[in-house]
Amino acid sequence: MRKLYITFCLLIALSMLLTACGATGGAGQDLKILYTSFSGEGDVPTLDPAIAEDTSSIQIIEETFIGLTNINEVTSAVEPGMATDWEETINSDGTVTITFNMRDDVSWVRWNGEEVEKVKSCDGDDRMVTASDFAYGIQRNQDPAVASPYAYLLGIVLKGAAEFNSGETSDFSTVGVDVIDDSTIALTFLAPAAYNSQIAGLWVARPQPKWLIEGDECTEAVGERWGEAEFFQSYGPFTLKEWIHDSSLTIVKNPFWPGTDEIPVSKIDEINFKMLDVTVQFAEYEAGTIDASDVPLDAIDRIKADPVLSKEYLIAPEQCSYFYGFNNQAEFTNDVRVRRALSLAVDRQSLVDNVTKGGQEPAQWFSRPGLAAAPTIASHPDLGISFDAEAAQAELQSYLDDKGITAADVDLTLLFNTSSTHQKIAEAIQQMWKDTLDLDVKLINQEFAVFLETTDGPNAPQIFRSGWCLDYPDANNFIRDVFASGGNTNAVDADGTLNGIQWVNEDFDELVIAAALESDPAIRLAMYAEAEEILVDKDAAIAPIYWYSLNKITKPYIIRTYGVTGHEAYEKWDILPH
Amino acid sequence: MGRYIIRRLLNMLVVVLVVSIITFGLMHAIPGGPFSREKKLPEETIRVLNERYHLDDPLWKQYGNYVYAVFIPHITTTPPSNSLSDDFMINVNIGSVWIRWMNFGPSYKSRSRSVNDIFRDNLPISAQLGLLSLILAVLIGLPLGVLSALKQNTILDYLGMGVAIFGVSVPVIVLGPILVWIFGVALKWLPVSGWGSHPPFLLGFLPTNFGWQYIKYAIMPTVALGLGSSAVIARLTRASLLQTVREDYIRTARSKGLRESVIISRHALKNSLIPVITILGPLFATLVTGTFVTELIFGIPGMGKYFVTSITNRDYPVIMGTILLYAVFLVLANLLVDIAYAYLDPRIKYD
Amino acid sequence: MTTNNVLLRVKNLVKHFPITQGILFQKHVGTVHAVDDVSFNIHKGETLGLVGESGCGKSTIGRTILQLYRPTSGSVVYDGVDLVALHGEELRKIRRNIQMIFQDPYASLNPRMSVGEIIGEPLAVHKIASKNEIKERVEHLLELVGLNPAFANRFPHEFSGGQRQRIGVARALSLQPAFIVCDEPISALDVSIQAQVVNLLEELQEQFGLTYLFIAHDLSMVQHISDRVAVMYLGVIVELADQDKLYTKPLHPYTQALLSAVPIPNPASEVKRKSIILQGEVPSPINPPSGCRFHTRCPIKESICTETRPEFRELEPGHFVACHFAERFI
Repeated sequence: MRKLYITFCLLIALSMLLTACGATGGAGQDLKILYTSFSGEGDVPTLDPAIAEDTSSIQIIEETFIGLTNINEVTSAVEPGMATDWEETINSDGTVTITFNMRDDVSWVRWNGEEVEKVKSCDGDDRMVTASDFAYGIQRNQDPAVASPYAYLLGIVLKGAAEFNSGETSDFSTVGVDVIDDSTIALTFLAPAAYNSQIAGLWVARPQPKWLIEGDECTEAVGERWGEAEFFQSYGPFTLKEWIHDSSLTIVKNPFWPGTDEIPVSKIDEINFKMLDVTVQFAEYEAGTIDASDVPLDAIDRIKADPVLSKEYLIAPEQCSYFYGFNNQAEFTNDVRVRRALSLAVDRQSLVDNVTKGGQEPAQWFSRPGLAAAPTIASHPDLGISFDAEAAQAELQSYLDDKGITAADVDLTLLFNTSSTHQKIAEAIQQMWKDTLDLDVKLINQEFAVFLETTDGPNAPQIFRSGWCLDYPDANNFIRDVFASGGNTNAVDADGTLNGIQWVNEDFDELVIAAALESDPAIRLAMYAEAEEILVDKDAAIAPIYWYSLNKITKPYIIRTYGVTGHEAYEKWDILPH
Repeated sequence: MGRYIIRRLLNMLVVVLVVSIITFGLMHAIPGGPFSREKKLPEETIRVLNERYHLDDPLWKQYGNYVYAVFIPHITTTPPSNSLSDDFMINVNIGSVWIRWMNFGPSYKSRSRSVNDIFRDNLPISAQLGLLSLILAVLIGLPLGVLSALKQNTILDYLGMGVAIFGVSVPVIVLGPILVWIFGVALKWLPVSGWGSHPPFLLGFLPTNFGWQYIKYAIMPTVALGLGSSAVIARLTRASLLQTVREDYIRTARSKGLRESVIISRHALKNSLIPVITILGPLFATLVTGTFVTELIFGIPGMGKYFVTSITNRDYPVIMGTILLYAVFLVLANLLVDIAYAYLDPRIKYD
Repeated sequence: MTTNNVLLRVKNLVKHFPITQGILFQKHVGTVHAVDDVSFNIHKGETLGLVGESGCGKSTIGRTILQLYRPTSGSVVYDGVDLVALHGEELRKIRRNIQMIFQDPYASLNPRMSVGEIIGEPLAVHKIASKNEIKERVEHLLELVGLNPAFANRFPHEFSGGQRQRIGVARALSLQPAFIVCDEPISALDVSIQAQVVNLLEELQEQFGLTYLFIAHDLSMVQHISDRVAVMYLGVIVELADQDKLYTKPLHPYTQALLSAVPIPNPASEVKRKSIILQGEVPSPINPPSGCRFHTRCPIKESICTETRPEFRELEPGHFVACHFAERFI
């Protein structure tokens, strides 16, 4: 057995050597192959939509599985995906049912080592993507045994999902998912929220191949390994061709994808994603071996000065916000004047120009403009808070006079997680506070997981760094999911203990809940603007710092779009002859 | 000797068990858990995740289960499945019975892989890079050290030791990007990043292609990683040789009328190798199990980063796996060193 | 015993070791005057004892004779050939005839080589014998020094100090040299073993007509084996005479002081004897005293001693001494 294995390996080695010698040039030259890279800690964690939680996993899932609805990567608008149209019905109990009419011409496909082929059922028919596949995908995402970290996304909107996920019931029929026929599925939501149709299209609600995961008469069950290249099946504009863990991942065009107005058939044949640190990635770009790269911050000045690179460089908005949270119950920061003074004293323009340098935008409020229903600088130029040294000094002075103390008596601590970027920002802001307010703020850093433990708990420091990126492109995902009572950074324990920013404002809570259900976009926008005003100015519960931007560099022969939702739609890209 | 090796291997088991207890205790003692996120997961989700990975069990039980899964061979009639939590490193099939051993568990972060998957895919690459660097380090370091010692206080000595000091003091984090810039970006002679061989590997760890396609990827990281180690070896060789040539038996050899080259090669070098061999043990373990910075700079899919990211991610099975892996390599390397001693020095005998 | 048949003539031998500082640009900051203008002859078949305190330069003389150290100046004429002028191959060849037995029987044997290899290596290197012959020779030599020939396969660490010194002797004898420098061969051994090794050396001398330079740090050690004895102090020989003369009628105050410290087996005479205890420390050879080197500690010092270096003169036939006032003791 062992000998056989060795012989086998030797044969493989030999054949590889021979093919390597033989295959110089020749075939495949007319293929359009895009080379790009993921930034970050290395391997793509998973391609299983049920458990994915990070950008790189979701990027590949977006290209290989299409949701019922699709979120336009540039405009963040909801548009048809697998569903061609859908209709909403409000039920008598206040819940709302959306019935999705799906395409019936999309087949499951796989890479067979040579080419993309359609997946056949045990009867030899093509396996088409059906409503049951969607139901199965949602069921897996909510299954406590699968333990999806993102189960809560559906949990907060989909009827019965939270109960199923927590194990209160093991009967999936109690969840608001009804397969009406192969191409019709009805989802029942808890409330008529504006973002229901967005969440219904997210990666947490994508079909998965049940026959492959659990096995059937003609397929061996491969369980959790179904996302590996040797098993993987999908149906979107691309499918997985090769996945060399920690090194590279290649997706290949699915020629059987029918192509829609929103999601066309790809012009590019293959996309090769390397998994490289951003500095290495940029070096590969400069060496000409990858076509689109992220940009390391320390290279930005050089790129801007370079006549060639500067033309290939582009800053696009990214839907994330960077902010400093205040512990609204801690000494000194429990007074709104101190919080407002600290926030007013931050010269955000100077910070993004001189410290972060990556084209970030000074944030006047929390929700990133560009999200559905979020205010924009154009619509609300004076909303929120911005640098005003005199106002800051006046606020602090009023507080100091009240308490009969001096600035030297105000003992403040700023906590951030250990990272050179956060360090630079914290030091710059520390200096601004010193210059404007004559306050000496102590800086403390902690390792990330320790930092999270500290800031999430009841003993959060007076000031701490935080950030938020979108799950779905709606203002609700920012202002309410993060700061409403019980939100991500304002959590409340079962016994009533406040965590995070520890901020209580019932008006704010009522406002954001009402805004979620408001159907008139103009009124919704006004409501969120009012909520932002409460959050960042009236109560100054947090200090928004900047809105993120993407720093991308792309070879001139690439035609591309710039996704603001955290992922790209490569099926819309093209490579010109070069 | 055989009995000695068996005894040492049994000792190793004890060492590894102790290391596992300490690591297990420490990683559970540090604040934060595998499911701490900037976007906080709902308590319910964390409860479900903890339940799935049995993190809701008392610690002693978790440790007991770990030891059972990793250290105790399992004898079963069920063949291996595709499940990540049922992935054993060693599976031996005897008739209808399977003997299965060493299940390091699933990764919490890379949810599509088990720790054994990481070992299978990434360790061979780190091992290849580590071995190449070690060979380079010895090939450069040993002659450099000998030359410097023989030409002590001459320009050659200063040059050699200058190179060595350069090697020690210019870390990979500086040398690496410079090499990449010159040979990868500017001259385009060598690829900027990556590794020339991918799983599956020959015999589990050897590259399947040895040609230029392989070498071109290996050159820069090998040099960057090997140079620092070669400097250590050169300095140690020089110091050790200088000490040895002052020994009386070298004078004896000289008084015998031996040629200088014979005196160095036969009498001095072998005796001065012992300290060099001593550091080769831990150096081997360190290089072969992966080096974080080098692998990061050259985009090499090795083990190195898991030593760091597993801790920041609180990926408990990966933390345990990497630490135990390193411990095993270190103990084995030291055993090899001890065996090498016996060959180098007849005074050392094991029984 | 003395004949005019001179085997080795050491003339005006000087060995200075420079002391340097600095790494790249070395600065000469001083000199160790290890051996300073020493002359003596060794006759064929005799044993010359060379005695002095540690650090006086006696071992340096031994090593300089073998050209293990190259002398700063002076000549070492062996059998009519000036060794100082020889280099490379010629020197290696003549080394067959001059061998050395070292003080430390532990450190002077390569721990990695078996006894057979240690003894046989010179034969192989000088291509004197074939492999089989070497084996025979090694066994013969081991027998000669009183060791079991079967020990050839063992390693030095398996032997006791005395046995190791026997191995050292066998190693020195393997090339059948005419002249052996015994550099404190018994100092590191237990007293009970010392006599055995000395007896062995004497037997071998008789059997092979060997000539010895026998270096020791104490007069009592060389008394038994030496025909003539030279006394060294701080890089120079202060007195050289036949063994019986030197011990009965020492002419140099330093020799007298050394002798007064030698224990005498007869307690009665021990009591009568006046012990001369030297004052002060041995001065540093980096900066030796002017004039007579011994003047800083000499009990009969006068002003001339600090200014003029005393000539090494033959005061009585065959009795050389370097002291301005040696006549007083005749």
